[in-house]
Amino acid sequence: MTANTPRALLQQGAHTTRERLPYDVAESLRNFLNVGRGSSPWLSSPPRVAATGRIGDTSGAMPARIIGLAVLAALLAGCNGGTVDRHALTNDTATIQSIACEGALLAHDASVGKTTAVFAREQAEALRIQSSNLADALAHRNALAPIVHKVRARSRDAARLAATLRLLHAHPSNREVAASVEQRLRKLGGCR
Amino acid sequence: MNKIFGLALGILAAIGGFVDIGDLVFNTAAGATFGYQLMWVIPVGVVGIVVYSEMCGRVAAVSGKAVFDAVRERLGFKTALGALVSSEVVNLMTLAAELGGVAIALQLLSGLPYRWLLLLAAIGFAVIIWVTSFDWLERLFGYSGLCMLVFAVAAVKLGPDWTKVGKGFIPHVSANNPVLYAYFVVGLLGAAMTPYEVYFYSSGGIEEGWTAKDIGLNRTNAIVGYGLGGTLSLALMIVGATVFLGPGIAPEHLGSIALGAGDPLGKIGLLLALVGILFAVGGASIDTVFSGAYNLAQFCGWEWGRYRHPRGAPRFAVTWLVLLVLATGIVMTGVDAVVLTEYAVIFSAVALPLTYLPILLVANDESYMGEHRNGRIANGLGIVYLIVIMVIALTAIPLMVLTNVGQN
Repeated sequence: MTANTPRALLQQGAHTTRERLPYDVAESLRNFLNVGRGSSPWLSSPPRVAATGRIGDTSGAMPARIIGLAVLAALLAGCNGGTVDRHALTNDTATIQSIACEGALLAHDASVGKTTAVFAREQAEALRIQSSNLADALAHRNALAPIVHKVRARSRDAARLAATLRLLHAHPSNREVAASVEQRLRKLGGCR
Repeated sequence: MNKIFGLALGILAAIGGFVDIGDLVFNTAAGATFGYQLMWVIPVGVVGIVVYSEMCGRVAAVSGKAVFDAVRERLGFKTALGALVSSEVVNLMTLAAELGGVAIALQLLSGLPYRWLLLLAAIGFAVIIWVTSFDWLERLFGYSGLCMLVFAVAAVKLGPDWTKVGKGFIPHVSANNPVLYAYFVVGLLGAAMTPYEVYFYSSGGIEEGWTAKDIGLNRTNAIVGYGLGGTLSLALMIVGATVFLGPGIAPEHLGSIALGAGDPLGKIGLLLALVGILFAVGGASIDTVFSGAYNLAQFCGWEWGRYRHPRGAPRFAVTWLVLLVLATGIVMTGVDAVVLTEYAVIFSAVALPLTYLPILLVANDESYMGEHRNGRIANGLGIVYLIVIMVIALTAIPLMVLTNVGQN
């Protein structure tokens, strides 16, 4: 192996990559930004590119397009604030049941001394905020006419859930309160 | 003893990379939604990350090249710039999610206000990274993260139906909501093979001064480390299936995951789970903040490496500090760390080919690798997983839209 092989150069280079860069980053960046802008005295030098073996050099805009599409898709996926239809109502009902059953599990653990007071308080608060936000959303969002009353009923369920979880948040080390909260949440969520 | 300490990089990569907030969320949610049906995805992901980590660790040991060196040289400037931007964006999102996770774990342990704990965590990380050597960072977060083993104990204690667990290892398509099932498959594989793991692993190998003599250590690190991470992922899925599926709980908080260990094991189990999550997510914060700084420094040809004093690699030090500040700012806005995690995992899945293709190419280049270039098995597995990665990259976004980010 001669001293000029890539491997030898890399081993000489220790942990810095400065001496083995296949191009000048600043100049390549200027060339990259110059694409499609016509000539400019300070941006008109011919592009310098990677020395050997690279692939897909002409597809430089692809990752940017992919990122753009990904962001757009994420925004589309995150859109959840329109009119409540039956499918959304089913999902929201399942979320209420899920929060209630998780709260019941937490309250059960608190009632038998399986959890710390700090954990019970903080986790109950996290669940309370979630159910409170859901109650607020279901109370105010537009809904299809045939299911409006069901949507508002679910809002009241979520508000009751939040109020019950507030009890656990306020008395995380009181086993009697925790047992009572567990019973109420099991009923509210129809937990198995 | 030195050999055990030598495994720290693999364990940190596994605990902080394989079992990061993304895996905690996706594995537990997968168990809570589909029971044991998705167990087969975890070994598939583990073998994939072992194959490519071993490859990039070998490249680092033999040629001194980290992954982003390969990306830059093999993809050319424009595509490498795209890869840099996408990896930095995903890294920043992941770092923000991990920092948020650290603050949540601290809050569940202490009860102090979230935003104060977030600031404390960010300052704590800056100080720890500044004053602690790379070796001790690995040991602190890697070995403390082993508290996560409490989930394996919980999984056994819960007494799952082992026959059903075993059947879960047979790949199949769920008849019940196949689109959501596919979303979880992609999410689990994306979380298992997230790019920052290999960025960190290969640069970490160079930080540790690996040479061709360390190829055996590299292989052991990759197999033991990620094997351990896979075991923990399986345990999380079993806990999710056993504790949450029956009552219909969709675990949407980091605390819910700890509850899964606390329910069968009581206070001790809960505390170990919280400490394990704290260090696993903290380790992932270290991985991601370094990955971001490694990538930029390697792309620009700056001096880099934690083995240097910050004055020896000032731009590298400034980069990780800036990333830490930006991530803290993002989480301070009140964005939900768990939701951010799901987006980060899916976006990173899109960027997977830009990371893994150059590794495969360089690991086959005789001028860099000499006698240590890929053999038939490594190439065969590498190509199979490259196809898997391409499929993941192409389907991740459509599935995210179709399932409303897994909300169905």
